Amino acid sequence: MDKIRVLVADRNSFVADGICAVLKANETIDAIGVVVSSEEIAGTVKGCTPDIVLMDTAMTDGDGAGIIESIRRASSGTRILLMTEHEDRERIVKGFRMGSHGCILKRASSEDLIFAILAVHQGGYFLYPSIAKTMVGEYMRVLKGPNADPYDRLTPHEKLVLKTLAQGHKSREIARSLNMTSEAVARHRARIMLKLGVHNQTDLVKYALRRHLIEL
Amino acid sequence: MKYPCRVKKCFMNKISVFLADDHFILREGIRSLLEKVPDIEMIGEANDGREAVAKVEELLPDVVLMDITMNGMNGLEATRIIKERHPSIKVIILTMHETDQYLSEMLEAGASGYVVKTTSSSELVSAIRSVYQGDVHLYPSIARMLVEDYLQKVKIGEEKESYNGLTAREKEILRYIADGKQNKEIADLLGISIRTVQSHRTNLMDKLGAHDRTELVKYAIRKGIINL
Repeated sequence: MDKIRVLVADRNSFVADGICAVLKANETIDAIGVVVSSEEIAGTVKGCTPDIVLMDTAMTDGDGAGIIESIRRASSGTRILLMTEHEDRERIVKGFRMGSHGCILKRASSEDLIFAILAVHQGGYFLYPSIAKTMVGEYMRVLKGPNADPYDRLTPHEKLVLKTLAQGHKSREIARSLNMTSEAVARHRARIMLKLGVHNQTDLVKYALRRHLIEL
Repeated sequence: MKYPCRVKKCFMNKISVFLADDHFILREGIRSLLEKVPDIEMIGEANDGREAVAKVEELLPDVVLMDITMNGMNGLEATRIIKERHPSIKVIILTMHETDQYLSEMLEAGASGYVVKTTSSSELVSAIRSVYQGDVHLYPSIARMLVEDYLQKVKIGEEKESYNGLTAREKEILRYIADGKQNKEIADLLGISIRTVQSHRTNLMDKLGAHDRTELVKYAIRKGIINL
């Protein structure tokens, strides 16, 4: 199996070297290099297309604001794991908005770091527990906020009924396929329409199209 | 993939864990696994949600491991009730799948962790310790769902805000552009000069962060300004 190729980016070169040493001690990971300045990152990534860039969030400050985008442009398959010293909500959220795939604290253990690299390499996201807490808080805020999407207020079952209704199935058919009574389907339909603020079948279908629940 | 077990320095208080799952073998497996962990103690089990709620009420564990799909009362309902009555009890959801349609509901109900049943034992132990300390543990594929869904919702919210920042005239022009009308037609329809239409259009794209007509049309469809 090929080793996971990791490029380490940190302004403190001995921190970066220390991280490399930790990574090299793991037989599934290969630390392929170190970058200490924001300006060099995109070029280095383009040259060596690492599987993962492990980068300190301090690199994204000031001039480095667009650095994550530039990494993704330089090598679209490269995944980005951020390390942060401080659990700064703004920075963490900004990192994800710009396209990073995970965030770990610098005080995490080496084992945590290895786990994070494997998780991100396998297509998942890694959220260090305290960062996961921050992100869940953020998520709940947008779920309940003034711009909340009414679709999110539907229960999973209502979402299912909405989809089948929009597909044009009759109440009786839906009742049979979802193992519920026709009256229950009618009740669900009324509740769905109330929650979404639509008033007839046509608007319901249009809504489902816009949400890509059904395709033309 | 092995999740690192952090060694707890202090074993004074064991973390008491309760397990609700309707699969006997899974309960057996988790119990024998947790028995080997010095700072964790299994204090009870339940076969469904109703039994879990009743026993948790009596045993008051630190952490509940909760299966989602159980006969009778499911894990979501049971989590809601437990968190309502005892906000300090932490709940970790055990799920069969790498993605989960109940994620937002579960978090809203107060769950602090999500672990896929195929996970390594070291990750489960680490999850228990994290939530006990008041943090959140999300299995990587679930973390990905959360971040992606979050970013999508933020984007929708921002679009809504940017739309509210448009003037009535700009909204009108956006609708015409999305309908496929050319600048000249729009100018004639509104009785204004082409130049004015152009400058409205530039402002619109600026405010909405769109770079060309296609992006404006896509935006209008998402917003429901034009119907498909």
